[in-house]
Amino acid sequence: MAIVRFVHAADLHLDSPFRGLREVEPAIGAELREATFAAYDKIIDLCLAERVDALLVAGDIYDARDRSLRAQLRFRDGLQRLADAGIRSFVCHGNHDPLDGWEAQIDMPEGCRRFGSEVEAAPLDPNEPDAVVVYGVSFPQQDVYENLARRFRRDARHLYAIGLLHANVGSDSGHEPYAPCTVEDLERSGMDYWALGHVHTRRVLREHDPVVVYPGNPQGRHRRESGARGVALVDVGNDRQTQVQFRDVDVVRWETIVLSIAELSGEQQLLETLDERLDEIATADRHAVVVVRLIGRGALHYPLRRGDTAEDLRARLNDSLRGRDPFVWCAAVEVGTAPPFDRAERRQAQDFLADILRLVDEVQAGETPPAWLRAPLATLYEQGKPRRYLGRDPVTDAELLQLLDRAEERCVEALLAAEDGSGATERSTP
Amino acid sequence: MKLRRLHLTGFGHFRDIDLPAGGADLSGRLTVIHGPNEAGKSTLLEFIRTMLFGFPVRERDRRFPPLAGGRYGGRLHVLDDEERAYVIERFAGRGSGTLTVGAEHGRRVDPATLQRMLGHASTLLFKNVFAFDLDQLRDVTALQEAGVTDSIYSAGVGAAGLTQALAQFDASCLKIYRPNGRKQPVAQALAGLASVEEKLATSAAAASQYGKLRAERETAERALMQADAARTRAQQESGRAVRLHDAWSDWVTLREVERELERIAPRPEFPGDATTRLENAETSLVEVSARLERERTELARCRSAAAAIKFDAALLEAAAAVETLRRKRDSFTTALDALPAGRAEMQSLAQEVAQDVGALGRAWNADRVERFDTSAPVRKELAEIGAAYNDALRSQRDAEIACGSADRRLRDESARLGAVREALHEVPDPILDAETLGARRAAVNRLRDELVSLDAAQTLRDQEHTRLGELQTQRPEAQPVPFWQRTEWVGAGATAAVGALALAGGLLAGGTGLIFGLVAAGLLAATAIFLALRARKAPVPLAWKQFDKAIRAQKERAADAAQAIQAIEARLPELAAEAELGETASESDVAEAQEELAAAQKVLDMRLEHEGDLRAVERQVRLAQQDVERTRTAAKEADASAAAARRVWTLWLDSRELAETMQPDEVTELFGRLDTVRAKLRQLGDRQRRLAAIEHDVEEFCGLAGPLLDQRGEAHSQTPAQIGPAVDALIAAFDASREARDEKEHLAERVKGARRRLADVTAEQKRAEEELQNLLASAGVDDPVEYRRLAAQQARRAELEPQARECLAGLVRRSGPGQAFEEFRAVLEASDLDTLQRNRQRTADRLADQEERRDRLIARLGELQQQITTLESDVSAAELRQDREALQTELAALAREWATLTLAKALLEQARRRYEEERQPEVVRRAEEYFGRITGGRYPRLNAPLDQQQIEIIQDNGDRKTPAELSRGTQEQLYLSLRFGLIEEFASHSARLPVIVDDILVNFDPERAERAAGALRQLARSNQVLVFTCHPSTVELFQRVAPEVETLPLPDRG
Repeated sequence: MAIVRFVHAADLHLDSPFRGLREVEPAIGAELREATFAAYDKIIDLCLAERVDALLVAGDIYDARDRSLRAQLRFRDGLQRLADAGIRSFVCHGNHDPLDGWEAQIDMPEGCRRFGSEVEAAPLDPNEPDAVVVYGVSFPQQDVYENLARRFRRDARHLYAIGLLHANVGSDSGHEPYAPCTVEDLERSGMDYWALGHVHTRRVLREHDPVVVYPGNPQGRHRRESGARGVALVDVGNDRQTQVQFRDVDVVRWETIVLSIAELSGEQQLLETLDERLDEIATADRHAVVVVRLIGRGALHYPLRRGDTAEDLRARLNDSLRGRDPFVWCAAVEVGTAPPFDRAERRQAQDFLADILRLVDEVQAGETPPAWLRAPLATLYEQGKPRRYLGRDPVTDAELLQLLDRAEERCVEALLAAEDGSGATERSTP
Repeated sequence: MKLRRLHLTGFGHFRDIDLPAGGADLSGRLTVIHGPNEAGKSTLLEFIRTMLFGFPVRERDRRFPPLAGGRYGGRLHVLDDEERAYVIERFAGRGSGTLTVGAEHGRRVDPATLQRMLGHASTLLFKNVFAFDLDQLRDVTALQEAGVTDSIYSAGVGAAGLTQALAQFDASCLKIYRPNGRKQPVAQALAGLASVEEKLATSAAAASQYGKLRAERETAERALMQADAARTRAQQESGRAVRLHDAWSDWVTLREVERELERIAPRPEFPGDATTRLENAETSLVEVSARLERERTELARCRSAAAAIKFDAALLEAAAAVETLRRKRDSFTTALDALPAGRAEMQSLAQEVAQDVGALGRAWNADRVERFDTSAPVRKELAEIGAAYNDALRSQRDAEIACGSADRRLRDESARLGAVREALHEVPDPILDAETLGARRAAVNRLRDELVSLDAAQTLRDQEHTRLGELQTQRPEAQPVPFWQRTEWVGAGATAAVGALALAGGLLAGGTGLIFGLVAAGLLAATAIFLALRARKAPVPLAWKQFDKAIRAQKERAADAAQAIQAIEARLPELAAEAELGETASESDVAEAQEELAAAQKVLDMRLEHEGDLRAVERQVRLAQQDVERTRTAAKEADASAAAARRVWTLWLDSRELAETMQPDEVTELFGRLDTVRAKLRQLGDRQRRLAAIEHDVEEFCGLAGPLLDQRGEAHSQTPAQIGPAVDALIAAFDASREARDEKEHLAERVKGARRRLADVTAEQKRAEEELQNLLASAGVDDPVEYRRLAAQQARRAELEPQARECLAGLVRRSGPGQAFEEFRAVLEASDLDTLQRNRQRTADRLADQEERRDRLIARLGELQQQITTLESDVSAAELRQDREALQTELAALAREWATLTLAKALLEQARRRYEEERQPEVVRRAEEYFGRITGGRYPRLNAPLDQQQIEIIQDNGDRKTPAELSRGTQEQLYLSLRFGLIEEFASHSARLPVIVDDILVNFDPERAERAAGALRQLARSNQVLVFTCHPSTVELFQRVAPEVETLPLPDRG
């Protein structure tokens, strides 16, 4: 017999676009735009099928900045379906949908509890005010750097306490440091279960006393959100033992194929290998967006670098994938290959090329990239218009060093071509 | 690295060539290799480059294919900087060719060893700095001034493509992004983003109106509800006004109808279709009267027609006879036609039969012919008996003939016997019997054979003797000489003896005498041996020996012949006795005896032949006698058989009452004739019967027709030929009578029917009259005119009543029932049409106002709803956001590509900066040293500022020049010096590679050329130097400047 059964979701980001796609077929584009909604519908279906007592949503339901009325309406419609089935819902807001963010005047269904800017406690069942209680707080505005977890204090009368919060626990560097807190802060609050949001990758930070869970976002929207995505289905037994199961609800999955060209004999084998790998992905029961990353040293490097080869390859793969249902779409072919030359051997030489290789090694070994390396990038990255858009994705030191590797490849390619007497290899502008 | 030896397997014009020739090594560090133009200097230079750095990858760049054959490539024997020996072997193949590097003792080592030996120098570095010709030196000088240093430095550090790469990266960057540019992809992506964001802002602004729109919608909904209520009231008022107005015509009609109805009293007894019913009754009466008239007319017409028809009843009674006549009419005509011919034919046939019967003989008449039995059993009997009779007669005849034949043969044979016997008598008796004669002939023959043998033996003997005589005659006279009597042997013996004596003398004399003796003895012995050998070799005379041998053989053969003669002669007497001849019988005797014996043999043969003939004839006579006896017996038997057969035949003829003389064949023929006659008799009978039948038919027809014709008064004596047409007329009359009778009967039937119908129609007329009267009576009138007037009044009433009801119903429908109707009616009674029309218009206007207001509200509400729905279902913002993401992704990719290229450029520049700072000064310092030396101190210093890509030349007076300001030769000396600087710099931290120059001193004045040669000699201390030249003066120059120089002629072409 269970005390309570609920679904814990977070970071729905309804109606937010997929990133990292330069172009898609119209039909696939429509599927992608619908993907966050479809995943949300699957969450509602899961609640109904599993006959849960409540749905808890830990912030970032939509991106307030986008002012998507559709997102708010669809969210309301889903909760209405739950209310019609007698399932309650508890919602708090995060940095993407703070209380002061834009919101259409939409009435939430009865049985839905939205938390305000102060921590409040709401019984899961109004008829049993001291049984299972949800404590929650919403971001009053986007930039909340206060440790909100510390505001949570459990009432001892409550049988089972759930904390609903959008926060960065343990200063996850991959996410903004909003509402920062530690696991210890969470422990001290006295909650039995922390239903967290903000971190998009599912993880259980603590398995008991209290149970601390990030369910991750239900639909990956870019290549870094690859793999299965979903929600946590939580069962609390009479002994207050908490069982957490992750359930996938994503409808489009991001996949990455990493393939080394070192062992490939030619373009034909490259195509065949990629076709095989894509076929494996295509056998899954959900749509997939694939990024192909080619690595390794080999003779294929030159044709891959030539002209629009990577883009042509992507088009060819998408041609061969066309018409599949569920669809598979190749979002990008990234050429991270290197020419087939023995770098270590060449580094031993006493010529200019060896000087370059040694210089690169020197930079890579240094603590921070030297100024002569970063300075030239300012021309683009720190100019008015480009900065506005590129500022979102600034070049980090690590990325700068990755770019340096690619730059070295270009230098090697050009200098070797000149040595061969065939002139500089044709380079293309993307 | 030092080159020791070159081996060109196949390269250009060289094939299997060694340098130096003969397997030697290049001995010194400075070597001048000389030869005339086109001797292959460039080929050798390229060969060394190729061996060290590989073949050009592209086929078209391989300029020295093995024109003289051999495998494309060769070997280099080298020493590395540590003096270790290696063999580098390379042949053309894929890529840079198939490379093998071997160490001492042929052990293969890693090909990468070569790279280490070469200090990882690139092909281009080697080509530009270490192995070059005048053209390449000039190429460098021909470059732009600013590019010269770049180029030389690039070459020096193995970065030939540096300048090009920098330019290329720069161009690529600008293609992606140019500050303030508009066409570059980055600018376009930014423009796209700005556009998308603008649209998104519009979309967001619209979304913020959502709440306001919803509030407005609620207000509009409330206003609509109020408008709906007002409209409902206006509708009700307008509706009543319309109904009152619309009811006005009904109301007026109702009032008029009600007034008219009051004027017509109701007559319920009048049915609704009274007039129709009256008209129907009247019409029926008229119709029935007309039909009555038609029936009467018909009756009268049938009666008169029937009375007019007449026919022959008596003839109709004879219908059966007439039908028979009709049936037989055609056959009667046919029979009548056939009768004369049938009669004639029958008479002819009867005559023919009588003749045939008469021809059979008097004993025959038709009756006997008919009765005579010629049936199959009788015919079979005739055949058997006749055949037996004929066979017996034939056998009798054959026996008689055989008898005659045997008698004739006996007579012939007897005559022959007599002739043979006579001939035998005339043959003489033989002398000897056959046996004796045979024995004697054999003996004579043997004797003859022996005599012939004797003759042959004697001839042989004579021939042998003759041959013997000839041999003896031809034999040489000389007798063979004994060997001891021959001179050679004598000489030899004598010489040997003298030798022996000489030896003996020597032995006795001793000392020189002994020697002399030995020598003399030796000489003499040699002579003796020579003579002895000669004697041995001298021939015995051949002819004498052969003759002697032949004579002896001939004698033996003569003796044999004599012996054979003796043996024959010994046998002759016995043989002569056997032949009953004398012992000396000669061959002629024998021939005579042979002739005698042949004559006796002939007589004997003749006798024996005649005796044989006699015996044969006697045997034939005996056989003929036997035949005669046998045939006579057979003839008697045949006679007896023939007599018996005749008796049987005669009896058979008698039993058939036929003449005894008839033979079987005649009887058989008679049978045939009887069959023919009988057939004709039967044919005659048939004809007679048929004719009788025809005649009977004719008679019968006439018999049948006669009474009928009589009855009709036709003449009875008419001939059959005339009866035919009469019968035809009779049949026609019969047919006409039958038709008339049938017509009459038909009319009688019609009269009956007309009578019946007349009665019916009469009754019907009566009923119609009654019906009309009843109708008038029912209306209480007796006049149809009055009836019609009343009926018209009632019909009008019937029309008005529904009209009144309809108007009333219309009023009720518009007003509502009960009280409402009464009020409605009261209003109508109190109103007029104008009032009603005005009222209707007023209320309608009010309703329209309300409707319009409501429509406006609905439209506004729809508009609001549309806006709200659009906002709620708007996906364009999502699409725009997706577009924004795509553009941002595009922008990020472009930015990264740009960043990569920018970093690549920065990397090249940084590396060059470092090179210029760290290495270039040393190169310039070394070059400065060489340049000063070559120019004799005229240009003691060089300067290469770090921030400028060029070299300054400082003169001894302190003036500065750029390379372009130097003369051509001095420019070449400058770049040669720079190369030397680079070579030394390279050697200082890497490998000491061989330096190969190809006639580079030609533009130098003699003084500078000498100093340049000296510089090369200096360079040779660190690096091996090979100088190719076609100028003998250059060879001399080096020999003068560097006495240790090794000079080699270029090898001959393979």
